[in-house]
Order: sequence, then C-alpha cells, then structure tokens
Amino acid sequence: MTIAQSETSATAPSVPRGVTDRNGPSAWRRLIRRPVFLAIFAAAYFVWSLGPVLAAIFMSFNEGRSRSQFSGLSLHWWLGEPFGNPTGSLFTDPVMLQAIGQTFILAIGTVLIAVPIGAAAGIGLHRWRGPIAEGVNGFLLATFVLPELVLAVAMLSLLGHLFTFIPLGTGAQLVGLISLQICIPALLVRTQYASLPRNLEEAAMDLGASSIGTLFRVVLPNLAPSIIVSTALVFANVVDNFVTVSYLSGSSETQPLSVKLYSSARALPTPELNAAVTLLLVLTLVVLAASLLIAKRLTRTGELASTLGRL
Amino acid sequence: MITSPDAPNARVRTGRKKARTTNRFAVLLTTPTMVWMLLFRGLPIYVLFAIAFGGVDPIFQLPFPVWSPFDWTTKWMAAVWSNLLGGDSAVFARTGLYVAIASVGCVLIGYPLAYFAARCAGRWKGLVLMALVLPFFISYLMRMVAWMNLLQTDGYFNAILNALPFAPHDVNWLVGNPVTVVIGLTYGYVPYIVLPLYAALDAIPQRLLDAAFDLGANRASVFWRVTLPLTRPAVVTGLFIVALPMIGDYYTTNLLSGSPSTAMIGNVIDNAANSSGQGPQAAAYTLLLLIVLLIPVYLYARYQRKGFGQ
Repeated sequence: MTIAQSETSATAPSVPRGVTDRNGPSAWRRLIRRPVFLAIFAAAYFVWSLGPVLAAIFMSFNEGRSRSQFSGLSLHWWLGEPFGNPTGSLFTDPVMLQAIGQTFILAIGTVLIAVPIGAAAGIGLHRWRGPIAEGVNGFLLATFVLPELVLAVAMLSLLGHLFTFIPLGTGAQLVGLISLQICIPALLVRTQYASLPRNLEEAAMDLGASSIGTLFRVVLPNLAPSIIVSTALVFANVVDNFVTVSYLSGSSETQPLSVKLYSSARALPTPELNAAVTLLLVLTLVVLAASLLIAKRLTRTGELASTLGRL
Repeated sequence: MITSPDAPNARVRTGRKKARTTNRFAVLLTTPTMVWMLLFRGLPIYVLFAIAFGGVDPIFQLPFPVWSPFDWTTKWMAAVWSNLLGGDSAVFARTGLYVAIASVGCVLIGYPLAYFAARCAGRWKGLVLMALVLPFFISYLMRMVAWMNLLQTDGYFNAILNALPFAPHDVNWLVGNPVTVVIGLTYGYVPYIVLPLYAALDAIPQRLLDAAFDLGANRASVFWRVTLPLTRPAVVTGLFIVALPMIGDYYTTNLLSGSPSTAMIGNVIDNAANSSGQGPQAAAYTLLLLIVLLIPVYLYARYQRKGFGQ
C-alpha cells in the first residue's frame, strides 16, 4: 500500500481533505475519523515497550550501586578500576568476559549451520509435496510454537541417556540451538519462495539451465531477503536464548552471558547487570543493522515486517 | 498428418521426468533438515517416554530409561496425574488463567497497533514499523530486567504512584504479585503477535475497502464486515503464537515474582528437572504438556496455511 492510499483511507472518504465548512462533520466526529486515538495508542505503546529498555541502558551508567535510583554518571560498571571502584564491572570481570566469548561462539556456530540447512529445506519444501514433506513441515511449525522448556527437557533426556557421546557443554548447546533455530530460515524461505512468480524458474529451465544452475542463479538471488533476515533473527535469538542453553550447559564455564544474567537477575542487583543486557542489545542491533544494510536494495521495512509476520 | 501418434505422449513423459527430477532435487535439499529433525526432535520424544515410563536407580537417584514399551511402568504417570488432580491443580488453573488473560491482552494491544501501522501511519510508516520490529530483536531477558529496575519498591514506578493522590502507595510489585506477572507476560509476548496481524492487514487490497465504502458502508461496518473477517485467521494464528510458548513459560514468573504463589506449570517442570531423583516426574510432566499441546499445534499448522494460502 502506498502512502497516498493509506492517507485517503485514514481521512473521511466523503469529505475532501482540507474542507472544513460548518455543515461538515462536527469537530468530535472529525477527531474520530482521523486516527488520533490510534496514534495516541501507538505512541503510548512505544513508550511502554521501549521506555523501560532505554531507562535500563541509562542505569548502566549509574555511579551508585542501585539499579533503581540514579545518582550520577559513571562508566565504572562497564570499565572498572580506572574509573573508580568496584566489585564487578563488565569488561574486567574474567567470568563475564568468558561468558561474552561463549555467546559469540554459540551465535556464530548456530548461524553457520542452521541457516544453510534450514534455507535448503525451505527451498525443498516449497517444491516437494506429499505426506513426508507435510510431516517435516509440521515438525518445523511445532518447533516454532512449542514451549522451549518442553524441547529443552526432551533434548537433555536424549543427550543424557542415548546420545551420551555428546557431552553437555558447547557441543550440546550448539545441537540444541540448531534444532530450535532451523525452523526460522526454513519457514521464512519457504514463505518467500511461495510468493515468487512461478514462471521465473520455468524461463530459466527453458533457456537450458540445469536444476543447480537455476537454484544458484535465479532462485537464491531472489530469496536473498528472507535468508538475510533469518540470519539476523537466528543470531538475535541465540544471543537472547537462555532456556535451552542453560539446560544444556555442562559447567559454569560454558554458560553464556544470557544465562549469567538470568541467574543473577534476582540475586545480584548492581548496574553491571544493566551493562551486560545493554551489551547484548548492542550486539543484536549491530547484526540487525548490518543485515538491513546488506538487504537494503532488496527489501523495504514494510516487506521485512510482513516477512517476519508470516512465520 | 505426419505427426507421430507418440508425440503428445512423449511430451507428457519428458514433462513427468522433469517433474520427477525436480522432486528428487527438492527431497535432496530437504534431507539434512529431515534427518536432523528425526534425530533431535523425534527421538528425544521417545526418550521422554522411556524415562517417564521407566525407573529410578535406587542408589544414585538417577532415572534410567526403559527402551521397550512392554516393560514400561505407569507409576510416574499415575503419580503426576494424581498430583494434577490434587496438589498441583491450583498451578494448572493458574497457568490457564494467566495465559488466557495475557493472550487476549496481547490481541487487544496488538491489533490496534498493527492496524495503525498498516492503515494510518502515513508518512511515519517506516518509523512505526521499525519500532514494531525492534522489540523482536531486543532480548526478552533485557525487557524483563528493564521492568524489574522500574518496579523496585524504591523505583521510579512507585515514585510516580506515590505522587498521585488516589493511587496505591509503596506497592511491593516484585514478590508474589499476580498482576505484575500477567502484565509482564502480556508485555513480553505482544511483539510476537503484532507482525502476523500487520502482515494480514497489509495484505488486504485497498480496492476491497474502497468498494465497501462505495457501496455505502461506514467505517465501522467496513471494519466489522470486511477487515475483521479477512484478518480472523491471522488473529487465531497470532493467539497460538503467543499462547503456546506462554504455557511453558517459567522465567517470567521467576524474574517478576519468584514466589510459589504465582508458579505456573513451567515452574513445576523446571523445578523437577533441576532436582535429583525427579527425572521421571519431569519427563512425565513434559510429556503430558506435549500431548495436551498437540491439538493446538495441529490447529495452528492448519490455520497458518489457510491464512497465507499456498
């Protein structure tokens, strides 16, 4: 929908824009016809949803120990000693540094395996019809909506009793995360593939391209937006994940930042925690921004939102 | 006249052959995911059965799985079942209540937002969409921690309330307060429902709405008789997308309340899975939850296809 169209639907269809005569609708009715209430509602939602996050980021620069009372600007919860104090600061705490490293290992490892496998399945499932394909599809959709806890307990049981050759720790975490995230590229790619014009491939085939040639030179370039979006989403999901990852972590050395956060959220309330969540956020947003820049020529924001909405 | 009678058949045959090779190629592309899903999604469920119907080592208190269905004992399942009817029935009812209120809340908040983004945002559309997509990428944990900061007893939220004359003063939000948990669940899951609703609203062609207006419908009846029926599948899908994961949520109550008085099914499973000797109970609970959720998952899969037709 273009902007011009959406504006005509937003204002009253019978009254031309800018016409305000006394015989027209009353001020009250005009207020209702303009989406003022919706706009206020949306603004209130944005304050409600993003406000606390901004406040939390701000609190990581607090000088005092409190996460609820601001007492002055300081960087010591981030950088430690040279700026003052204290007990724990994010970038000097070896435990935290190791956790950050683990987060990176898991996120990159999962993206490298889950995205290619999942995207290939998304392409395959678009073309392959039949009961087995339906079954795979069902498994993917179920993985997407089932509570993560169910999948984590099942995976822990599997690795504990049957696949004992995969010890708990980084390997197990990667296996669990890939199983969880594979559905995202698969479903996104399949949905985008379904919206591509069908004669694109037929034309390539008629011009003599092989299946593989068509895949690499016609299909994949057209599916690039959904592949890039799913890469960003998988990365973000892994950085945020703490259910699967904490169930499958062997020792405290293999706990990534999110698990440290979750376990200390109610126990250790210093702004170091806020610094850590801010770092997680920055990490995710950098990846999101990078993928959007890459996909900029290929997608509009509207398309991105629609694509994500079709999961 | 000279065309061979075989010619049309021959074309059909090559057509079929082409279809078959395409199909084989598609199967090849899907195989890695299929194998992975069987090994790490299908098999674990069988292991859950083997543990839930298996035994516990008397010395080490570790569960041992029984692989053959003929040797299964229903002891643990029966214990869990009687727990559900007895001591844990309150937890079950509470989970249902919290999830129902929070899911409906998600729709009531998400629908107007999606509607605003799709229809009314005008030149702000890009920005509005960005703000709707952003929470998708902000960690759930981060958003919960952010609220924990504000809801501290000496936090800014209470400071605002204390400044108002008729509001409750010095509320203890973060210990065993069901209101906090339900609002927290709603807050946490709203972003997941906005985008499916947006996709559905955005897909309605403008000429359909114009036609309704031309036929004399006012805005209210266009909404009730055109927009809402067309987005109903998305509302149902969206409800599944928020409600199903919420049923197994244990971290929101842990973070925002941490009290047994607001425990959900997820907390029961999480506690059992983390204490020794309770492996079979944890497996039995998980299995039960999985079986209960199978029907909604099936409905979700059907609706999902219907909503965005193939």
